[in-house]
Amino acid sequence: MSPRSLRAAASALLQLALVCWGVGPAVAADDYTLPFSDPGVSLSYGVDRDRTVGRQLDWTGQVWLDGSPHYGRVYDQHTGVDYPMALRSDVAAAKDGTVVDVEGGFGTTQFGAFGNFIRVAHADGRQTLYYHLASATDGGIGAAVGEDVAAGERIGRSGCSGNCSGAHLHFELLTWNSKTGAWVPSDPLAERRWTTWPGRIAFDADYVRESNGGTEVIQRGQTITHWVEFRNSGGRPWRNAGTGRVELATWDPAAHASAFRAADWPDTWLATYLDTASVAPDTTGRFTFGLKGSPAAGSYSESFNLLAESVHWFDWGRLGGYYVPITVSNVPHNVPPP
Amino acid sequence: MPRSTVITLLFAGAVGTSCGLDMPTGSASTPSPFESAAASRAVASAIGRTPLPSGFPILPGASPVALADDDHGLIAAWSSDRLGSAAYDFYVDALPRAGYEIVGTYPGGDVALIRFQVSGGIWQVVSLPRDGRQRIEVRLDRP
Repeated sequence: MSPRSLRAAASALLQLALVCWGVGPAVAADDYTLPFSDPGVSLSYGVDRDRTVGRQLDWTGQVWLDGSPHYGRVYDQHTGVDYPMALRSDVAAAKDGTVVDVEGGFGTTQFGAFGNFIRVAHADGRQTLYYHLASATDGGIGAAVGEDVAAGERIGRSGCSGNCSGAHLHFELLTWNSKTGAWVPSDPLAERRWTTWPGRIAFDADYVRESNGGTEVIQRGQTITHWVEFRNSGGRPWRNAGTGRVELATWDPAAHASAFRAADWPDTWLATYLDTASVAPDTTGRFTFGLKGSPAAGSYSESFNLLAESVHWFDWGRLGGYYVPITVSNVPHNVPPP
Repeated sequence: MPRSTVITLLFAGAVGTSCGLDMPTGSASTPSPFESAAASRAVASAIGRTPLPSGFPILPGASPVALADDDHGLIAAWSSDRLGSAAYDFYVDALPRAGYEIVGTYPGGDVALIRFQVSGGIWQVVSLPRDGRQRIEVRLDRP
């Protein structure tokens, strides 16, 4: 078994363990997403929720009294969540927010101190920190102070700057403690604040079915209605408004002006938005749009992909490489020959 | 229409380097890997500790350190002045080259851990800072 498949299996077991220990989905807050989009990334270490030296309380609720590192769980005095990431992997914002601090002057693998980081403030009063990033000159810092960022949007690239024993992302979720007047790390794993878990990326979809799985025959100048359904296999709900709105747009090349644009398309490259207001993970969403037979008679195809607006395109391969074969005819379709 | 289905230590490090396991440092001459491994097996056997196989990769420049008698899961340990990710990066590369399959990698801030397959079980390489230097341990697997 490969390391990656082992990590995936371990991740699944850890999730199962979490549910069994009574901190499962029923109490999930589900308001932050994982700070990356690579489905191969899994957990190295979580937050030590016990501040006593040599005594660890991991995210599953288990107490360790040996001060030793426990992979997939915790090491002593750890204040964040560590995710193994190859150098220069994409790091994404865990929630909509505004960048309030950045450091990018350390070398990508320069040892010592905090290293490079980005700090983002969120509307719920919390802040998130992304540590050990690559240097600014190496693309590690992808957002500036004052810049608004969306959940899932790339804000930098990983590295191993600062106190780092192996390339990874150290992620912290900070809560303001009004009694002490300080930011304190909380545990997003124990609080179930993820909309998605290791092994599941923020925006992902699987093809389900469409109104016509064969060739659409369109009489020249006429418009037909076509719909397609995708299963939300990502970790975030789909919406049809606001940042991250899920759209069906032309692909291959991305966002090209379509010769089959119908009057209901919002733009030359944008076929439609999600039909319904929202689609939860593991449920199916439909996209309905017109196709107009504008080109000369002949056989064509038009490719489409899903897009989370201002965030990123979906993985077209996971959509089955979705396209619609189209035949434009000069005679009405289904008219029997004389 | 779905168009398609989803596609989706350097050996030399050990050569000429003393394994030095459980052995006091400061030997006047550097034993060959074979001699070193044989010596370590003898010492390990005397105290019931699992011996390190001959040819096991060692971070260049790392010095062997004494092992605590009450830590029987510990197989070998070294100290290095190469702080940070050098040890982790070295073993991620060297273990497969030496024939050991890596079954899990867990890099972190103060700790990096690699789990790898040996005949008869799984061992760990653990890298962590200690007293201003980097300590590298090989030990039996533990959760």
